[in-house]
Amino acid sequence: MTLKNRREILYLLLPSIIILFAITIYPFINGIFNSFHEWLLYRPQLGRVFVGLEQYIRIFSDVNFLKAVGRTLIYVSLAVFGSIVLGFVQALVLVREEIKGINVIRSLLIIPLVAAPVVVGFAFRFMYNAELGVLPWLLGQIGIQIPRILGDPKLALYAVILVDIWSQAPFAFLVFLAAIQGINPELYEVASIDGASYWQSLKHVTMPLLRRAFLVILLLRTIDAFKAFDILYVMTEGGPGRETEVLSIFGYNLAFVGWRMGAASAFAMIMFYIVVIISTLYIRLIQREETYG
Amino acid sequence: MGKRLETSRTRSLQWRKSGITIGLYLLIGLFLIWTLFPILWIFLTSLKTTQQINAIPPLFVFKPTFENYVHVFSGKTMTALQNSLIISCSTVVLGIVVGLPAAYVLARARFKARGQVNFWILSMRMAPPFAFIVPYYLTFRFLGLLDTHLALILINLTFSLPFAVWMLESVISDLPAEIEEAALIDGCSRFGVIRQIVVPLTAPSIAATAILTFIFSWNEFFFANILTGTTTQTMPVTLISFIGLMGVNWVQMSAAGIVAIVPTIILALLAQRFLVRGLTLGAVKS
Repeated sequence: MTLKNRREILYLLLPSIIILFAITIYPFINGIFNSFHEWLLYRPQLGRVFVGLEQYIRIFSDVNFLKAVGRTLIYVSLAVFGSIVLGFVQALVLVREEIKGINVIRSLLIIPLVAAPVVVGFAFRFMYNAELGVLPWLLGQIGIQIPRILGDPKLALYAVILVDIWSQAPFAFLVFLAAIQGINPELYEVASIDGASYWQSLKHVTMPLLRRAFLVILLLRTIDAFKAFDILYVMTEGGPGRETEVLSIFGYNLAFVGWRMGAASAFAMIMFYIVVIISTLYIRLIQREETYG
Repeated sequence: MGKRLETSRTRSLQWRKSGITIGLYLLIGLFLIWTLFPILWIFLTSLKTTQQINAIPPLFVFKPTFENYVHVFSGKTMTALQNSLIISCSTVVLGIVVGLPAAYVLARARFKARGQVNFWILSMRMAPPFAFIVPYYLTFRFLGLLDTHLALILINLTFSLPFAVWMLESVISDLPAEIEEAALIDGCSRFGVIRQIVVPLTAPSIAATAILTFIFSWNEFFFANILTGTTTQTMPVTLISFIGLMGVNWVQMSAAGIVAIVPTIILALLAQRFLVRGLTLGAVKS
């Protein structure tokens, strides 16, 4: 059935379109406009002054911005890699229906995904705590002495990445599990009649059929890790020094610590285009998968 | 000779099989410890006194106190719970009421701009919240809406509305259109079709969409931290206030943390069947 009556289409679609427009396009245009201005909220008497591309030039020549880009690359690649590997292994194990209490175990494993990231951040900050934390104590028991994990410039970023993996691996687990369950069991029967071992059928049956699920996870995890803010903010606020200052924290400081709205708007545009580039690349990949896969 | 070989082979196969089973359960045990320990640990902490969390080695068995929960359910944390409820419920209702008709049109109608509208909606899932917050902050500041429920409900629409449209569109496209056609021929209006046919048939999916939107909104921190003040702050924001000048009040914060995560965990278990579709924006069907 197709809706043909134009007026009906309009009535049903218009409220959403207007609201969507108001909440997306307007701020976007407003943001572009502001990004060409200098606007310091702590000096209201100066108002909004046109500066052309100055804000963009300043951001790209800021050492702290470039360092934040580097940290973001480390954060995103390790967090995405870690959560995909862990989620994949979990899915391979928990696809076996013969395991006792399988449904309860599956449900328990997705808890981190729906627990508020702020609570997760504080829980780990407490566990990492130098005096009260259970993790430094446990490490001490096996002879590793690192009391101040989050205060250590070399370790802090990796300690936070571990928390991201903890909270997001269940996403990869869920999607992989659904994808593996969707594979036709006859394919495995054929493989085992042909004498394929578990690892062979994993490599030649399961893995190739998971390509699409893998790409979807890769895309969404990359974008979400790129946007990650809550856990970092709660655990380190970018510290010690600037050692965990990734792009989202850098932007937050620009806007809501430095109150430089022009610079923050320019930065928001940069963030937006990075995400656009990442998603376009992946969407191309997925489309190619659909045509040739 | 042959028989002996046979039995030794089946025996070694059995051994291998039980070895694999043991390995499997060990692995599952590790997964469960890794996943549940942090949650369990803040739960235990929420039942401790400040003296008890200072103990070395950390206490696993102790006399529990419920004082931290008594504190949480009084005063400012209670206000934050109310704020979270008001904001999350409003976000859910607005998202679905506005999103459902749009989802219906996108699922059923063929018009030129359909692809663009879909792409636009998808791109909002991808857009970094930072791209929204600066213009929103300035606009709300100009309108005097900072520190109000309304500001947060409006900005939450940036994720709840596209999410509702996307989820419901994929569900409605799976419905056979014949029933709707019959109703239209009988003189039912398009709006009547949505209310009397589409809504009842997709009720479970609407409920799941509502649950997932509620979870996103309940856990949302980035916008809430910037846009709310002491009287309108939500649960995640209020946790920050347990950081005092003298250090962090870990025991009360843990109790508040448990209160903040229990509702979403229960809701997620109810909507578990729909989680994959919801979290991948329909890119993987479950």
